[in-house]
Amino acid sequence: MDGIGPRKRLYEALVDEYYGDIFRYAYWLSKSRPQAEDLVQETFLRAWRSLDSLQNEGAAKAWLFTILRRENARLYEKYRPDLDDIEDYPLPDTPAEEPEHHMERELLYKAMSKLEAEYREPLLLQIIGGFSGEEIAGMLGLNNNTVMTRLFRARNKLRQVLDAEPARVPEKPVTDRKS
Amino acid sequence: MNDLEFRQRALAEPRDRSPEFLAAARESAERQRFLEELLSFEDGLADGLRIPAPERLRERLRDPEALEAERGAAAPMTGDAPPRRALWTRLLPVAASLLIAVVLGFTYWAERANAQFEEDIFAHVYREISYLEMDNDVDLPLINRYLAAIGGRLEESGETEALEIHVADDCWVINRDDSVHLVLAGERGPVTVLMVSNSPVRREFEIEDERFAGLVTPTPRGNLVVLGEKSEALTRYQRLFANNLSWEY
Repeated sequence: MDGIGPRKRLYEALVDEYYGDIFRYAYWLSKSRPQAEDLVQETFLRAWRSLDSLQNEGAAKAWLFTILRRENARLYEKYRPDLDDIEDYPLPDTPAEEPEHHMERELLYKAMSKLEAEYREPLLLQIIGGFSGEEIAGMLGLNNNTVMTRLFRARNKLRQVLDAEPARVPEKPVTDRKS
Repeated sequence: MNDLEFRQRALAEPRDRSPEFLAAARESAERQRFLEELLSFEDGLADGLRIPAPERLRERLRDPEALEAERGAAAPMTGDAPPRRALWTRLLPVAASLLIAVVLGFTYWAERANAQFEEDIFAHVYREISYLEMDNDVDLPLINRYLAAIGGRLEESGETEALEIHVADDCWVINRDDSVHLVLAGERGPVTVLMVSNSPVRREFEIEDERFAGLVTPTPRGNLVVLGEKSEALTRYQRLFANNLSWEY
């Protein structure tokens, strides 16, 4: 007997299993590492307090993500963070490169910041959370068709923004050989 | 399913494995190509979103009682009101409290600015984490071409020329094009140096996360960030760059 009750054991298992994805979702929602950490702590604290209401362990991931979304909404309304003042990037004169397999995170960060929240949220739930369209619809209180439309628009916009980025920041920085 | 429907479905869910969707993809070479391109884009997107989660956060989360105790409410004030005193004796502690609050306020906002800058630094480093694996051969004239664009210059001396630099790039930490980003070979692994032309800091301070440790140093204009694996002795690089970096305007 290790002295840890089943409730605590279940909670620890949820932390170990999901804290990474929860953190990533919080980060891309808030675009702030300290705020993401704060959100994650609040999320798991609330989960700890209401663990008995989790009837089906299979639904734990969606449950945690839903708690996080509500905490983010609560914090956002409370602190009203400044909007990102991302400059408008002009279209390049030369044809843009195709997006590479290993995308520059800086470009992705800018591109995600330009995406409206209504498109960014379902996209993050799909890619980071691994949720299906139906699951996302349930979590966001939307119908499945609306979710699919938003996912389509999110990717379409991201591709347009990333395709339009100038090749100023190449995948490998410009270097010269030492003479 | 016509082409438009196929594209919309592919863009909504590129990894759709339903027999209907896969059969629709096989109907033409163009659809196959589109889907392959989309899956490649999706791999890059998923990879880009997959930032590392701090291990120390997991350790904190596993102790919810300790987390709750940190967020515990302050005990309420109780007891009889003190006897009435002369006005100036009642105002004096208020004035002292205000002065302390102002001083603490400045300190608080300075520390908040430093904390925000630390966050910006790590966000930038993790966005460019692939730089740590590059092995280009970079010389000082190239670095100075980048620095010239932000009004800086690195002295071409024996000690700077002895550095083994693998990456040089213009970057943005706070605002677009405000920094030059170097990666050089350290004793324990790659060392990142950011020469930031704005956001001056008032004092030197340390930063760290679960993987890296760093030093932020004020310079006559902007600041200097040196970051490496936790076992790396960074002061050598901090002194080297601080002594050889100048700002021309």
